[in-house]
Amino acid sequence: MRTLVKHTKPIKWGQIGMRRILPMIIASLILTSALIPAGVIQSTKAFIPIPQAKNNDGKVFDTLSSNISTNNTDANKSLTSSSIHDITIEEQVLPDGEPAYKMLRHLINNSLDVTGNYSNIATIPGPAIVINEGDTVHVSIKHLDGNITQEDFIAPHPGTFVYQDDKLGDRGLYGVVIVNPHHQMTVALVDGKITTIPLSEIDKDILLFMVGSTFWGLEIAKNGTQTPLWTNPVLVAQENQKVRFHIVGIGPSSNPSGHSHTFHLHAHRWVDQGTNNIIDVKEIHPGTSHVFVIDSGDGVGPGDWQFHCHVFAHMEAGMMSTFKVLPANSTSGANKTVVQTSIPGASPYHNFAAFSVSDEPGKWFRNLKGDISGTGSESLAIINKSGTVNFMMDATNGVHTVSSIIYPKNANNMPFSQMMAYKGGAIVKLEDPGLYVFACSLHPFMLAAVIVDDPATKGLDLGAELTLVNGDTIPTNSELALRLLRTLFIVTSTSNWQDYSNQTKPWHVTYPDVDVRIVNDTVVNVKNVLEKTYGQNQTLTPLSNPVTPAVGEIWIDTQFEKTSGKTKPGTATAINGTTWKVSKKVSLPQIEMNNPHNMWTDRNQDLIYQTMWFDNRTSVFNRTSGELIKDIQVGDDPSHVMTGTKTDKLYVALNGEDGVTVLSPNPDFEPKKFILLQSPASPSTHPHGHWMSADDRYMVTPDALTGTTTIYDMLQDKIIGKVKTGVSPVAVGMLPDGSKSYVADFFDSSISVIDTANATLLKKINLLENYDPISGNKTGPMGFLPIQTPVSPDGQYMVTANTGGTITVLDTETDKVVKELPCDPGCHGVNFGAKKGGGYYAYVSSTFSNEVIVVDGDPNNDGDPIDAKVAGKVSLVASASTKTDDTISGLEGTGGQGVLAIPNVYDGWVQNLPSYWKGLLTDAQQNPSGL
Amino acid sequence: MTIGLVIANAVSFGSIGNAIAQSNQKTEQRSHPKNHEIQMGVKELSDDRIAYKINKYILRDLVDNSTTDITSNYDNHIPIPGPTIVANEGDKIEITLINEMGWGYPSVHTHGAHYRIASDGTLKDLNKVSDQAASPSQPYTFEWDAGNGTAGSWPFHDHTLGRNVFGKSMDGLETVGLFSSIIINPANGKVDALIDGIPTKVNVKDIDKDFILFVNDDVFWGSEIDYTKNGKHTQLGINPTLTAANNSIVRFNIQSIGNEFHNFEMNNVHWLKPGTNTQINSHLIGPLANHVFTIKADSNATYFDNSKINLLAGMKGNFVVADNNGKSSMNPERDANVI
Repeated sequence: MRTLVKHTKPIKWGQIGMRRILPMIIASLILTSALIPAGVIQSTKAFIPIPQAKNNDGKVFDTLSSNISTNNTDANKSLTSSSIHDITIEEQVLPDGEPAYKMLRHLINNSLDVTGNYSNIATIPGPAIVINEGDTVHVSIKHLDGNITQEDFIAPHPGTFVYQDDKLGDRGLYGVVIVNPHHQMTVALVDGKITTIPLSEIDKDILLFMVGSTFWGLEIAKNGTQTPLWTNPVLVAQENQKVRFHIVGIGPSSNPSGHSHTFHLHAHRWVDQGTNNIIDVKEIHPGTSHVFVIDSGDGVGPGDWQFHCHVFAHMEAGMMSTFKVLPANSTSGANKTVVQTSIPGASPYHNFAAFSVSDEPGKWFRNLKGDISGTGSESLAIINKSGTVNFMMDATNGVHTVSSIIYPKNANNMPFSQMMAYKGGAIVKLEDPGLYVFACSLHPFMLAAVIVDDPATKGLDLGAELTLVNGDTIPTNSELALRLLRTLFIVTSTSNWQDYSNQTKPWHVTYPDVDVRIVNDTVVNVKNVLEKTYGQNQTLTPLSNPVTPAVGEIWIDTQFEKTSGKTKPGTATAINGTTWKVSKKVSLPQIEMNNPHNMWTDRNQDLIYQTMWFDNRTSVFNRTSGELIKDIQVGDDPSHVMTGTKTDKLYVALNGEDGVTVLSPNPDFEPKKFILLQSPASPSTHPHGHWMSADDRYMVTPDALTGTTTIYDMLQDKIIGKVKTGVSPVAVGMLPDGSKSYVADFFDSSISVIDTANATLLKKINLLENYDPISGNKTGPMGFLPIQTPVSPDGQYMVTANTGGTITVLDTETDKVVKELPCDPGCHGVNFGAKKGGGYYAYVSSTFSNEVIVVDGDPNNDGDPIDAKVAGKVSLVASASTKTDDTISGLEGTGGQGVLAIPNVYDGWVQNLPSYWKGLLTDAQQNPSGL
Repeated sequence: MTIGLVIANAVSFGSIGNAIAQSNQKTEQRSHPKNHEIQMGVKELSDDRIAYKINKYILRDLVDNSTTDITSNYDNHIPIPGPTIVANEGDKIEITLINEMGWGYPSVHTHGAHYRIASDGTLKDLNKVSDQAASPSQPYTFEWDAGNGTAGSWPFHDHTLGRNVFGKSMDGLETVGLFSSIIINPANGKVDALIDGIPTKVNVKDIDKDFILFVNDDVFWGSEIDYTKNGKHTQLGINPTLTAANNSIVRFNIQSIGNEFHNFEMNNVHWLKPGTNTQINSHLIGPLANHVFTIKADSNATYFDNSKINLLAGMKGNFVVADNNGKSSMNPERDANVI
């Protein structure tokens, strides 16, 4: 599990001398530990605070300049030999959209021009400024906006200091100042012994910046010449050469704890700076550097020695390369002064695409070059074959994966994925032409598409056949391939979402007007084909209120709706079940509610429990007033929350971890327990939408990453079994008596039926049984990519929301799908509420529209859902009478996810309702299982 | 004050006798470098986990060629973490890895020790030389050299068993159980320790127990080596209670594997930050870093991961100092979940 980090405002390091701050940090850490009674741990401790350059003071060199103001009388300040450096650097934008620094001029003591040492282009990392202890530096920075700023500092003490832009410093505007010690000596591990050697014996300096899940390199030759090594370079040295490594952590500043790494170089050891400890792995935190000198090949000889980050997911995400140690005599004459230059990796200047991973609706994977297709989507990139794609999770508070879900059949380096969600990034070389789609395994609407083109052929290459994440392979001219392509443009372009606030305006989906090459070397126009297949400018089915009112109100997480008081998206929307108007919108600007995903309520129906899926918190707010009551750190990516019927405790599934956090009931909401839903050291499960039995006996969790579903026995406090279900199980429904559980297997488009108590698979229902993926012909109900799937409170039927835009209804007696009803793109959330006078409504939300569809699953109330129908369609957009806690500023009513009807009428919960709510229900509704 | 005196003053007569006998034996072992000839199996556990186990462990004296079979020192009861190898600087280690799963290509990649590229434990795709892994039909032998400067406690783990085809994968499935450690004692026979609040050099032969704690994403996995019982290895499972005789010298070998960073902390106990005289009682550790310290066991303590959620999950254990050298034990509440 991840160490949780408190969200606190960063201290303005630049305003206080570092030398005064560090003792304060140490003192506070000691005090914190001292105040904790033995065996009791009061609070979450953040990572050791690290002075980062990121303090929004507008300065780039603040890790150094903050030292100027300190009152020290170090000898180095009075050194007569210290030099004055006049430096001008310039910000530029590289071809992939990343910003970078270029050295324009470096003049020493007004006479010696060393500009020629630097690369003549802008580089990532930026130029390494190498100076001596005590030197004075004046830097001019030419910014992208034309402004020029000036910073001055005196090199306070030896070390490698990060410089970094406040705004774009996570992305490329960073580098280091290397301050060599006055005595020009350094510690090295030579022939296995800790030794001090003159800097003049260093054969080369290698800089490796650990950013996201990519190494960005720079080499400084003995003569001072700097060579950019770009991404994951192959480092080269000869045996016995002394190489000084500078390993640097970068960003992101958006995340309070940043991304931490562990650097490992195979078969080499070094001295942990400032100690006599010999190590071969070092923790690298953002804004810090780790410097050491190795004796190349000492005791191990030549070889292609891997270096990598040892955070497991970062290894999987491609954070690795090679240190090539050549035999000492590989050059004739064994001239040790001949230095082999390292081999640069992929560069943003050539065949390279960069995506930023963010919490921003539609732009979850944002190509830094923006919208290149004219569709409004910023999630598409085009590169040529053997190009490189780099991902950086620099604008998200959540944990994610970068997983290939579609790729050309037999493509090299595919599939690409990670076994667990993480903070970082990813880098992958796409060698073979065709269409590649990447997604987060936890948030599968986060999509990035990369077309890898062979420039020698006509049209952009989509490839002949595509392999899907579940292993199926389909030809690119199949209806399923078209359906997926269309989905991509709808999901990632907010202007392509359905907007019910103006029903007179038809639904227009903008497709790229571009020729692509598909199977059999056929070249087709994407726009023409998609418009011909799916039509264009469709009239949306008008909104209509259900004739029979509902009891109470209906809450929908409008996960993408934006408000002006916060930078993260999402509101919770309440609909009055009598008027069918939006009565309340809660966005909780004071805590930056971030992608609110799913809700539940307390016994009294007074509170709303709200998970924040792209964060690590669950919030409690007053249902009537919208007032925040508590914001609780529960663990990464909390997805769903339910209460136990016997205890009213909260069970929060952590989609970014491997279990469920249990919170004490109203009024404390204290984390009391974490239930690990797998054996230690087994593959990560990452549960999403659990369900709990009415008798509080079983909790069934769909393990999104392992394709299993876990049955947890609350009474025995143990896992009683794991059932192999399908690819990416995402949500669970359960019969009122708990006997059968239904699991929606997202990527398999199937429902797995489980005998709960025996933890066995009873049946697998293929929701694509009536669909021909080649022709697109349909012969019966169909559900593409199912998500939420609750069983009606009376246990008679189940309603499933399918991302592909359908609602399927299953008869729980026969476990057969009996009906398909229309839904919107990204059909997602379902829950049941009471219909006035008896029966139930299922409320169905859709991610890429702004209405909720009201389904009456059994209008004639005979227990047979064959007559299931859409009873109404209700807007999620606020009106003038809607109570809000912030100003709605965009994407109104969109992102329909979790649904919660008040009162909560599921069997087991309905019996706990206060008499007021019971009084509004029929006898049958008060006792749905009839027991 | 010397360490010998500390022990003599503090422990019972029986323990002294034991300690002397043990010291003599260890001194003898140290006098000649050894070749560690190890046959190590890889077997499948429940819940998609995999583990190393010792099939045979012969110590061969590199001078007089005499051999000692120490296989029985190992307990394969709970095979996570894998068996710890204890060597001296100057020793050589030869591990023949046998794939007993019938599938996959596991390997051993070690940290710290010297090895040639053919013993990197990676696949050809990466090392450009060979596929260094045990196939179901073909064991692979890894050769390590505990050369100068390799002293320390280092993790070793799989580095090949990805989900791709043989010859292509680079990332190991090290997180699902294939991890263990090698302790290389320094040639000079001395390690840093904090004794009675004073940074001290202690003789390796005076260490009574080595505790190995692997910080995994959700739990601590423990094992111990008891030198007062002929170097008996005991697997302790998850979040174990560690037990030491009062005033005995114990070494904590903290290892880390997985995806997460953990703030390892012990209340009531301070130790030396490795390679310094700085006294600490917590340390932020990231995957595959190690953190080693030696202390005198003189007070009960709790070790834990200082993050609320991990603590809620029970990521903690006790360090119990007993009058008699009690045996460390598994946390009984968690036994059922171990394997």
